[in-house]
Amino acid sequence: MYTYIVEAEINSKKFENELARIEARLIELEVAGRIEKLTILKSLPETIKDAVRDHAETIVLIGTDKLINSAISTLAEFKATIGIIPLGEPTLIAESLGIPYGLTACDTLSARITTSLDLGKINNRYFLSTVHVPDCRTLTLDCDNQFKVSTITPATIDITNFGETSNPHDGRLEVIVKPEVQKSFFGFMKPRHFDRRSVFPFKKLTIKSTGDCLPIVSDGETIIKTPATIEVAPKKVRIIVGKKRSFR
Amino acid sequence: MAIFKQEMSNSKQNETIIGSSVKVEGTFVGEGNVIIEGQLQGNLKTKHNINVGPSAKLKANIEGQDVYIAGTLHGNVKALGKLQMTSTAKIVGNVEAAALNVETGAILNGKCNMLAETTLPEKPEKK
Repeated sequence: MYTYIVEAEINSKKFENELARIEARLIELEVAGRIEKLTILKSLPETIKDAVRDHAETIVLIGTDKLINSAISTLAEFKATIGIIPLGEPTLIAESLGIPYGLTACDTLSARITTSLDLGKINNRYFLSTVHVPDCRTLTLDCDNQFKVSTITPATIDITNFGETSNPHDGRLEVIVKPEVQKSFFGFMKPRHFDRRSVFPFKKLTIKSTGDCLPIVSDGETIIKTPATIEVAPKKVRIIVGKKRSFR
Repeated sequence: MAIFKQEMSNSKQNETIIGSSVKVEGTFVGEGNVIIEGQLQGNLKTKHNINVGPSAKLKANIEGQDVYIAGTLHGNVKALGKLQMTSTAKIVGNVEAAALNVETGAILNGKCNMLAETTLPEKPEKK
């Protein structure tokens, strides 16, 4: 049994026709189910819990990355399979999972290629794709209680679950340290240093700052302050993916 | 071709890179290839290859399959396969390798043992 949850921002006139076409296509493909449209008064965690209580085996999120990020912590508590129909912007998570935009995502849903994915966990809150530390001048990263990484030039840090260098099946997350290239007037004449990024796979990481608390942005929206502990939750969720996903 | 592509992406996904903007301290056990261009203090061990770039500064004991050194290393090196030192390499410590390649200009201050000889079983003496 399928339950579809439509993001509040998508539940507008702009997407009215596209939503109607999606609904019709789901009926054609025989994967139709209950449709829950979120509003300001209808909370996402409660909607998910209600769907699970009603024995929904697949919960499909219709909307942007914001909806997926907000839903993932609640969905991680249950065994329901997750489906995605990307609509609106941004939809980078769906793109990485190989799910096409809009109506064509219905066919991916119907094809039902499912895979178990690792999740990241920051201070007991789950994230699916990335944690970003915008400024890490005074940060130390303690990886797996074995080695410490400190930056010697200004840099930004991304902790990723899937992408170019990381695989969401390997039971590890990757920390990527991207140094800021210092630009000056005569910068083009000088050889470029400190521009190669660093990549470390890890299972558990503690971020500490020696100065003031620094912000950490989880999945593009939630802001957490340092210190923070990040760990991998292996094969925590089951997701329907497309053939063109960025990992195998 | 597809298999080759997949192998390439897998190797990239397991790769560890210590760039020139970071300093790593402690015991690092890598799962895949390790590329070092920054600073490392402690120990490094991997079943795959290690590449120490010209700007790298290590105070560490390192162990890997094939080890390529172009930077400065204070510590011991164990290469289960080939150890290659370029002209910019400087090692202060003992090295062990199955095969050794040293370019002119490389500096090695320490003992050198060839693994193939030391790991061979001793021949029984003829009476």
